[in-house]
Amino acid sequence: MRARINRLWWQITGVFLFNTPFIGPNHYAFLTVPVLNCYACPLAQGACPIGTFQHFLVIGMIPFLALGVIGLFAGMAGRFYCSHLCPFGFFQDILGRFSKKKLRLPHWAGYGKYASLVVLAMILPPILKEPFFCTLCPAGTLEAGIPIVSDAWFQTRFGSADLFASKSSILYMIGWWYWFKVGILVGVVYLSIVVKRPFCRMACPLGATLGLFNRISVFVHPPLEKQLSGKEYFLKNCPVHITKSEDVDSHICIKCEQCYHRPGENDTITPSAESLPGTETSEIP
Amino acid sequence: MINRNVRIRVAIVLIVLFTVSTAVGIYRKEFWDIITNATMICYSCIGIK
Repeated sequence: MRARINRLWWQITGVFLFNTPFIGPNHYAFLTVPVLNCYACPLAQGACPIGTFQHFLVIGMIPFLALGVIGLFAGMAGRFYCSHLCPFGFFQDILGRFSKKKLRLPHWAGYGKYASLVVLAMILPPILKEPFFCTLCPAGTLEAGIPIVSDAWFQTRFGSADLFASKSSILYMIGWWYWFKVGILVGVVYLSIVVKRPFCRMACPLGATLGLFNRISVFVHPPLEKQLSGKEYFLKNCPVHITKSEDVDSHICIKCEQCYHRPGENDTITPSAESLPGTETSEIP
Repeated sequence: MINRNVRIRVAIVLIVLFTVSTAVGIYRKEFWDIITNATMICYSCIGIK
């Protein structure tokens, strides 16, 4: 429980660290950060490395900066950033609290994020000459699309203050693709209620890249099972629904540390802890 | 989990590699172009084609 509260503070800090309105709009939006934080967000103070990576592929350059930053952060702590700092991961965690009963994804679904990385973020951008993963990304819709379009709409409709320097002309540029993208976000929202962190597990190309470094990263490793006094990891509250101890620290694991900062033998599991989401599961047929 | 010594050696190689990559990325002109245009609207991210 303590690890969970600790992580909550990290996540809140992550949201404000990468999206703060206090130092002016987009002053540091060029800085590549190890989380899926859309740099088109009006409040962004850090750029998504996948967006930067695709940008360089589109202009026909090798994305040295994005590769270097992803590699450095991943080499330090693997997917630690997914569980502790990623604003979109936090969003899914919040949605996950709305339902106790969770569906279990088949194991192969975890490899979907590699398909997303290779096809949507590496192969298609230089061919189509646009950052194709960004055109589908639900984090972009949530952090950039909806705020900017809403701001423009309120300006046009009610003459309200120009909060995000949005142009009202943007309303005339909206087509079916925008609504398709909103539909993807709605789908992710629904899935996040019935499945634990679906986007992180199935579609996030950044998570796929960071996950490759999980077992070799310098910091943040779970203790060996023998150091757990012969007990299994406490996987009941795993935010990515890991059910086997050998999968702890694998590419699926987001290094949230909840499984080994478990309640001790003398600790009483409170009713609220017993009723945490994910305690009841069922398989997707 | 991989042996600690192996992990540290691999990590040192990777850190050197990725630090060089980051340095090259920052040195290049394109990075400074991005800084200049950091406040531009990303139409792909919004969902405008």
